Amino acid sequence: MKKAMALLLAVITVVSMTACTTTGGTETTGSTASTGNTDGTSPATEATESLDDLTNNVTLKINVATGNTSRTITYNQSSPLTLSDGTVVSAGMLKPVWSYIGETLNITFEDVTVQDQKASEAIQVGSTTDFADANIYGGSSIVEQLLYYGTEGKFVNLSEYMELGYMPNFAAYLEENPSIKSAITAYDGNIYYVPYIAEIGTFARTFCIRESWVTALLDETDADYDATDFETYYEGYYIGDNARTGDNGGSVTPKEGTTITKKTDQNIIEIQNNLDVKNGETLTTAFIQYIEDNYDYDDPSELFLGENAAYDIDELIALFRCIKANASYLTDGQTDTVWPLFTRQSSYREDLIRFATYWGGQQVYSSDTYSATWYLDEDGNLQYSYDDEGIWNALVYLSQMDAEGLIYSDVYDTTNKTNHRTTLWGTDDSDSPSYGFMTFDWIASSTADSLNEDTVVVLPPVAEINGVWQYYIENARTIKSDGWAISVAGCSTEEELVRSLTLLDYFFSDEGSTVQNYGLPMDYTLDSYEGPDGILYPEFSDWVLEKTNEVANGDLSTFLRDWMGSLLPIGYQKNIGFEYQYTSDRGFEGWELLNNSTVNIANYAGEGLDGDNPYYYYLLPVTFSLTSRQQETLAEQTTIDTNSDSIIEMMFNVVRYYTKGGAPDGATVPTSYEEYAQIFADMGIDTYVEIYQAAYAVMSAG
Amino acid sequence: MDRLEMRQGRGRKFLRNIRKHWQLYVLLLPVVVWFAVWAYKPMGGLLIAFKRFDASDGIWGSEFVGISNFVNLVAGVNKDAFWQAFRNTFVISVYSLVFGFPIPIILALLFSEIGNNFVRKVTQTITYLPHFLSEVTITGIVLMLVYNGVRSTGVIAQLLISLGVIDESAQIIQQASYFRPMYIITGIWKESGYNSIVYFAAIMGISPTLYEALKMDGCNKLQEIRYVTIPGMAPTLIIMIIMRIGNILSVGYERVLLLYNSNVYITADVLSTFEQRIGIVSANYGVGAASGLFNAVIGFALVIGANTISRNISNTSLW
Repeated sequence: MKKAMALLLAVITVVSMTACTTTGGTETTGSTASTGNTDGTSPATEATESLDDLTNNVTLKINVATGNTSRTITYNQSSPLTLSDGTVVSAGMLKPVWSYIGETLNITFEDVTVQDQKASEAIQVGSTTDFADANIYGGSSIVEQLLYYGTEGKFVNLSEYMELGYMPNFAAYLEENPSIKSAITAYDGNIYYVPYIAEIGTFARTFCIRESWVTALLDETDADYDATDFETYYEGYYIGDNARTGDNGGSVTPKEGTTITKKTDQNIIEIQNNLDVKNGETLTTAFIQYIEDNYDYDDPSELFLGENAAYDIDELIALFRCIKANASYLTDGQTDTVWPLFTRQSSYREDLIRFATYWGGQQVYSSDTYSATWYLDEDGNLQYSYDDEGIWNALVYLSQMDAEGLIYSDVYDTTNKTNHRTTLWGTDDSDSPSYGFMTFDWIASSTADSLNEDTVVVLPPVAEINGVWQYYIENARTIKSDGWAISVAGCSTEEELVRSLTLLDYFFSDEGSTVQNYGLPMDYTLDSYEGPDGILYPEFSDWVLEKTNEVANGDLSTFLRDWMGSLLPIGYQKNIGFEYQYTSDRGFEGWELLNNSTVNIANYAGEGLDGDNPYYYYLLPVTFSLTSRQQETLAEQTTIDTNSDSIIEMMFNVVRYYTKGGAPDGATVPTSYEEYAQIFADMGIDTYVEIYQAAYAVMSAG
Repeated sequence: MDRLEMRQGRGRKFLRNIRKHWQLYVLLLPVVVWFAVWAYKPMGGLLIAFKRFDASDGIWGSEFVGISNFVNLVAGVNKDAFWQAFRNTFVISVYSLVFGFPIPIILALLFSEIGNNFVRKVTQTITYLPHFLSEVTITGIVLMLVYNGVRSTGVIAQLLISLGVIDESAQIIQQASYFRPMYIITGIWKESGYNSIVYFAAIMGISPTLYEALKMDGCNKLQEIRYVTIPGMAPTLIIMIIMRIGNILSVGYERVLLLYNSNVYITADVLSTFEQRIGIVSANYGVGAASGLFNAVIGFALVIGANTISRNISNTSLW
């Protein structure tokens, strides 16, 4: 028995050790791609054979990680999927779109992704073997790493190959979009990755509300308002010398040819604050009187609804107060608590900081990501937004709003993973309903009929932004921080390298772009669906819509990503025709409202109204290409990145506790702007900004 | 016989010993291999503490920077966070030792006094159970119990609100002063039962004749525990406490990472989470490794110190 046990243990040990050994992936010096590119500068002179005739089948190892098992190129659903042609796809197989691409480009895909790994982790792991374990690395939120390792010679210099005639579609795309080319170019002037590019030039998130609550509050005659007492903390922005009247926003233009004039210098916040009795009835009655005294609308609700909306941030907060104080009236007695403002999830709480724009035009995020805390000043220099006094003031205003109960308190807790939008808009008919009023979110999903048939898009608050009274939304669709790149060490043959280039380029061809955006060609009809912009888009077949309802609760985006394999976070240009096809009528009305209005958005061309800062409207790259020395300086002299979570938590501590107190012990809650700014100074903000300014200067110099 | 012959003789004896008892050596092999692969081989990575580490250059290829990473840690831009983590690690460990160490012993004593075998086994199994749940599950349960939100409130949070201990809007997980009790109680709940096994085994190893002798002398249960059980467990207790002291700067990062947030860093951030944040999240590997090495050296000194003190006072020691 003892001998048998000993032998068994010995065998287990040997097997375990064998399993733990590596394949020596770091020995890559003989690889073709690295021969010409290890220094990242010399052109690949060997790459002069025919560009890629696709005759030979080439096996490519792909590592596209998203931290989500369902969102890789492998089909990981528990139930098989029967495609419209009868093909059955089951767990472990390639997703249908990737099988199709493989057949089209004569590639055998080998998915080497650790299926639930985050892309950033995959890159960290890959860096220890010079990225020799795959031909192509990609995924979410990794372009900073792709840029860094690209300049280190670990990823193929795509610029060189484009000059040699490879990747013609991507090269043509960059030629047509120089701002995008500039945004993805590393400090050494080369391009190392292909980014995921959203529908550039269109609105991203915007303001969406429950329409009936506004009309019920402001237009109903003999409304039975609540008499619940209300305590005020917000002191108003357009008060004293900043009263909104005359040249200071007295007249605004929501759409060409329409001027809305505010007749007096009254401020509704002051009026409400000065009421002897503050409750649902008095607050709302005063607000209606204020609208009638100041505007010429047929119905008071028009101040917020439709194409003539001309409300400012104070008027919006006044409306929030009326909503908060009339919970029972608005919900037919279902509840005594409603939440005027919320974000979709706690992880989107930074959207609250975007309100800073409407208190004086403070810029917050230069791109469609919360980590892009940059903007350009009047001299074109990069500046960090979070430590600005304008942000501090916005946090204090938000704090006053929070003290009044105007912000859904669960949004602050990032351990709470609930979809607040579903909770506050999607439970009206449930046994335990919860109610919210406004969120800042995407049009299509926010106005989905399945969520709530009362939600509509409204114009943003009008404000003095960049020295000019205007309607403005800082959040536009941008180049994302997702993408992919070809590993130098991973391509051991010329054939692999060339086919990898062909694959990356495919998604910028007409066919490849359509496949990536819409799925298999058999599941849509080209040029069949006319969008609200008058453009013809591919139209999904009934099979797609039925399957989406059957397996993905009607979420088309999820179905295409997790079942079919399109729309993954790899390098491609997203097409908005997909989104249009699951947009409700109210969503289209929202698009129309924004498109017909004078609302400005940030853009890569930097085009906008003339104002104090000629660079105000510029969208910046989602990340900047730093040299090794710059990265070392950041690590050794600053802690901004290390403390990014703490910074956000501290900012929301201000929102939660600055006005009403009760901060938990241990929480950092600065009590003045000087204290707030000192926190950033202690983390080395000056050095941090200098480094990024230098990096941006090199990138923008071309 | 000269020294060389003596050495050769010893070598031959060792080989003979292996041949004779090869089965025992095979049984030992997995443990040796485990230590070699997972404990000794990774020690080469400590070099990172003296390098400006770039994963693509490897440990040897990265630039040597001397003690720069240590200076950054103890006197540079990260010094406040490092010393805070150092202090927290020490305090949490000491609290865990003071409050967590006696509980398994008490549990073992209680188990040993349960006369009914079935009841004892059931009780033991129930107390062992949390050990086999992952930290993610345990902390998930804890967070649910103390959560206080708009739509749901955990049982413990509700209880504390009802007793007036916390405010209705208070978030326990955001309060720095609640973190350490929460961490330690969670640890006691999860590990006390399982940790009691070793003490229970020690108790079972005490000769029954000693208890019979005490009974003859008219001693009661408490006196039995005082004069036989505890002295009988003493060597085990001392060995365990030396091991705990050696690990006093090794607070496991998983539970802290899953329970903490930046509002409670002041009491919750420990060296391992600090290293995770600075080394992995910020990719500042050199400083992270320096922190780990610093931690290990102090832990090593502590275990040697505790062992020496124990040997001198009680004649019981690890080596």
